[in-house]
Amino acid sequence: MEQILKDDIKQVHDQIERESIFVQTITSEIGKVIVGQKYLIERLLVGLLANGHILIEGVPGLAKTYAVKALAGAIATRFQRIQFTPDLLPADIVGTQIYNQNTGDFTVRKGPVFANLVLADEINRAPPKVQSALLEAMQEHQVTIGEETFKLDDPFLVLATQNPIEQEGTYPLPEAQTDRFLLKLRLDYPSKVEEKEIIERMTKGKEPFAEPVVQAAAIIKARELCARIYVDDKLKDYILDIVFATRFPKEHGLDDLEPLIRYGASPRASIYLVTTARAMAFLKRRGFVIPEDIKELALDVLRHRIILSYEAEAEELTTDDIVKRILERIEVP
Amino acid sequence: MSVIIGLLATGLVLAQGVAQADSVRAEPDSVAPGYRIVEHGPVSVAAKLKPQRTTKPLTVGDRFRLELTVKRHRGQKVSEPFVEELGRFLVLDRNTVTRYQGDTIIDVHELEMAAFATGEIAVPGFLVTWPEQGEVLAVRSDSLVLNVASVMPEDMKEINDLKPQIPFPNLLPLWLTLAVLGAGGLVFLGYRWFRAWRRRRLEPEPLPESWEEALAALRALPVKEWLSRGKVKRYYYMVSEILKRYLTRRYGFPAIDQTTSEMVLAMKRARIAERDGFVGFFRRADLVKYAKLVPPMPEMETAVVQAQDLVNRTTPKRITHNAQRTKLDA
Repeated sequence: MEQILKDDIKQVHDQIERESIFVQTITSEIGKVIVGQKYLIERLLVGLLANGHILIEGVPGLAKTYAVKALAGAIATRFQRIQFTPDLLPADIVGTQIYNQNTGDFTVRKGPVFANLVLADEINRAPPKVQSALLEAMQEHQVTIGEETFKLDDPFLVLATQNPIEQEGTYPLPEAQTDRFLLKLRLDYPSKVEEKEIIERMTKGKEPFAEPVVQAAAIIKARELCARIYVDDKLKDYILDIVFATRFPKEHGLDDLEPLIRYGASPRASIYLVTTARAMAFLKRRGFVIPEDIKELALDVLRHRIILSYEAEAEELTTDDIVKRILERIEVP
Repeated sequence: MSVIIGLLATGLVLAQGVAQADSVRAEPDSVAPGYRIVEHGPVSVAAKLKPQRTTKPLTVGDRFRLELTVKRHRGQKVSEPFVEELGRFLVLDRNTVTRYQGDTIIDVHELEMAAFATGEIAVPGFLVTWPEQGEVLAVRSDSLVLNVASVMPEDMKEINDLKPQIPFPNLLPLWLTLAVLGAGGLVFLGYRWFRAWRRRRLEPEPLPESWEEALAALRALPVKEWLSRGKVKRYYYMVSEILKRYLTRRYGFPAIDQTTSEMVLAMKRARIAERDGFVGFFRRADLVKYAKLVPPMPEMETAVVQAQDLVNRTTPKRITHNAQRTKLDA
C-alpha cells in the first residue's frame, strides 16, 4: 500500500504511524486507573487532538471526573478542577484584580481557568453569568481581567460534566453555549465484568493514579499532524449531507423528520465533524479519513446542536434518535 | 210461457220445501190445503227415469232426465206437474210435448234434474191437479229411487272446509335489502377490479433477480475506457455501488447506507459465506475512494472480475445449477 498511496497522504500516513504511539501509551496509562469506559477515553483523546471542549453527561458515579483526572495525570500538563455551585462568581473562574496596599496597584490573580485541562464539574449548577465567563475562555482561548488580556496555555481543554437527573436548582446551558462544545458525551453504566474489576481496584485501599507519560508538546504536534489528514471530497459531501439533513430533512428524503426538528445543526457541526473525523483517523493510525470515522462521531458532534420541536418532545424522541435515523438513511459514499 | 210458470212454481215449491223440510218429512202423505189426492181419476200421471247417456254412475250434480206422462180426457183441464217437496233434487230444465190419442191428451213432461245428496234417495212423486165438483183433486206419480254416488275419494270422510287464508309475507324489505347488498357487492367488485387494474397499470416492471441485475451492471461497465482515462476512483465507486446494491437486495440489509465496518457486521449476521471476499474488496475500494490509492493495473482490471466472481458465488445454488444445465444444453 505504501508504494501506491499518493505521496502527500503516504507521508502523513507514515508520520502518524510513527508518532501516534503515544495514544497507546496514554490509553494504557488511563486504563490503569479507569476500568472500561473505552468510549469516554477515546472521545477525550479526540477532544484533545481536535482542540475542542467536551461536555460529559451521565448519572453520578460513572467516573466522569475520575477519567478526566486520569487523562490529566497521564499528560504532563496543569490540571484544574472547578466545582460549579450556585454561588460561584465569574472571578472565581477567570481570576480577579487584587488591590496591593504596599504598591497601591492592582495585581492580577489568575483563576483556575489558567490550566491546560480544566474540569468544570456540574457546570449547570452555576448561574449563566459564570457559565458565560468560562465559555468565553473556551471560545477565545484568552481571558481578560481588568484591562489586561491573557492568552491561555496550549493545549487548553475544558471538560464539563452535568448530571441529567437533578434538574432542580440548575441553570441548563443555553443552546448557543452548548454549541461551543466539540462533543457531548452520554455515559452509560459499566458492564458487570467491568464493575467487578472496578470493585477489585477501588477496594484495595490505595487509589490508583496515572503517571505522566506524554508531554503537552506531543499533543500539539499531533494536532498539527491531524490537520494534514486527508479528507476526500466525497466524504466532505457526506458530512454536508448529514448536517444539511438536520436542517432540511425533506430535501434528503427524510420527510418524517421535517416536523420533528425545529433547528438543525450549525456550520460549526460540519467543521467539527471534519476535525473530529481527522482526530479519529489519527487514533486509528491512518493518514486519511474513512466514513466510519464520521459515522462513529456524528452522534457526539450533533446531539447537542439539534433543537427538537414540541412534536418530537411529545413523542419522547431525543436528538440521538433523530441523528441515528439520519445516519441510517444518508447514503455512504 | 208454461215452462217458465212451471219452473217458477217448482222454484216456489222448492223454496217452501226447503223451509219446511222437516215438517213435510214428518208427514209425507198429509194433504196440502186446496186439493185432495185420489188414487184413480180421469187424470193419470206416470214417472219414468230416462236412461243415462254414459255408463258412469250418477254422482252429485250429474244431470238426469225424468219423464212424466200425464193422460187426461180432451177438455179436462189439469195443472202442470208439481211436487210438494223436491228434497235433495233440483229441476234444472223442463220440456213438454203434447200428443193426442183420440179423446185422450197425453202431456209428456221431460224434467232435467240433478241430485245434491249421495246414497239411495227417492225422487218424490209429482202431483197433477184438476177441479172437479167444487174441489181440487190431485193424482201423484210413483216415487223413484236413485243411487247417487259420491265424488269424494274413499278415504275422505267429508268435504273439508276451505283452508284458512294463507298469509303472504311482505317480501319488499327483503328484496330491497338484497338489492342494496347486490348493488353494494357490485360496487365493491368494481372498485376491486379498478384498483387491480390501476395497480397493474402503475406497477413498475418487475425487477430482475439481484444477481442478474448485478452481473448485467458489472458487464456494462466501460472498464477499459475508464482505466485508460485514469478514472480509477469512479471505476471503484461504481463497482462498490453495484455490489452494495446487490447485497442490499440479496440479503436485505441496507448496505448502501452502511460503512464497510457496518457491512462486515451485517454480513456476519446474515452468515454470508463469501463475506471475507466482499470485505477484502470493500476495504481495498475504501483505499481507492478515500485515500487516493491507485492499485496496479492488473489488479484494477481484475476488480470487476473479482466482483462478478463474488456475485456468482453467492447466487442461490438452484439458480447456478439451472444456469449450468442451460449452458450444458446449449
